[in-house]
Amino acid sequence: VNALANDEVGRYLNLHFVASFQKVGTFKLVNGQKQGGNVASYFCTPDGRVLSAVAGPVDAATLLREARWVVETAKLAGLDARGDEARLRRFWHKAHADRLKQESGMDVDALDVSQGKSALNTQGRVHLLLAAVPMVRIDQCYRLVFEHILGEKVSTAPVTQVTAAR
Amino acid sequence: VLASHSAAPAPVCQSQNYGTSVDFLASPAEAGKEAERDRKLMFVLHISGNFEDRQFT
Repeated sequence: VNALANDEVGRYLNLHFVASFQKVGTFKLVNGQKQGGNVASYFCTPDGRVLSAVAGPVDAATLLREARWVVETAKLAGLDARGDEARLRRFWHKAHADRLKQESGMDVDALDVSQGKSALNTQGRVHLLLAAVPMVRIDQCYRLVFEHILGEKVSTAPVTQVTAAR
Repeated sequence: VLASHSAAPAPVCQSQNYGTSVDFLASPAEAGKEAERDRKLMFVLHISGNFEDRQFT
């Protein structure tokens, strides 16, 4: 969340995006120390289809780089697809597949990607997901991201405060 | 079409920044509508805890 306090990040997100938030998990405060909890940032179309995402906390430069990549890729996707939905999905598949190849060396269009899957970092797993199901609706993927990529539980429980007995 | 001069202005979604540099609307549904209207994309933050209370975020 600290990256969101950065002025440049704020200016860019406010210019190109309309932002909102949702509580999807919880954590414990044990003697004032946070245990568990995480964050996922989604860059979506207005109707909630995920163009890209950042799983976990990142610094301002990383969040800004991802936001810029989404905005510029969305412009190019619109130009390329010319209103054709299938073409648009193929474009976003290729965009994430290219990121995966550049950053993790994995070729998603190869016959078997399962071998390298366990070696992927968090962001690599996000690109793999979005290459497999480009423009998936956020309600169809958030649980997978939060539970299987970030290792947290989706929960409606409030934050609990625990003070250990001395 | 004639519009009444006395008609109340359309409601505007109120945003808050919750200690960040980003303006947040209260729900993704509101954000989606505004993004559609302003031809922007939508940014959705999924968090653990309460975004409104920094102690619980």
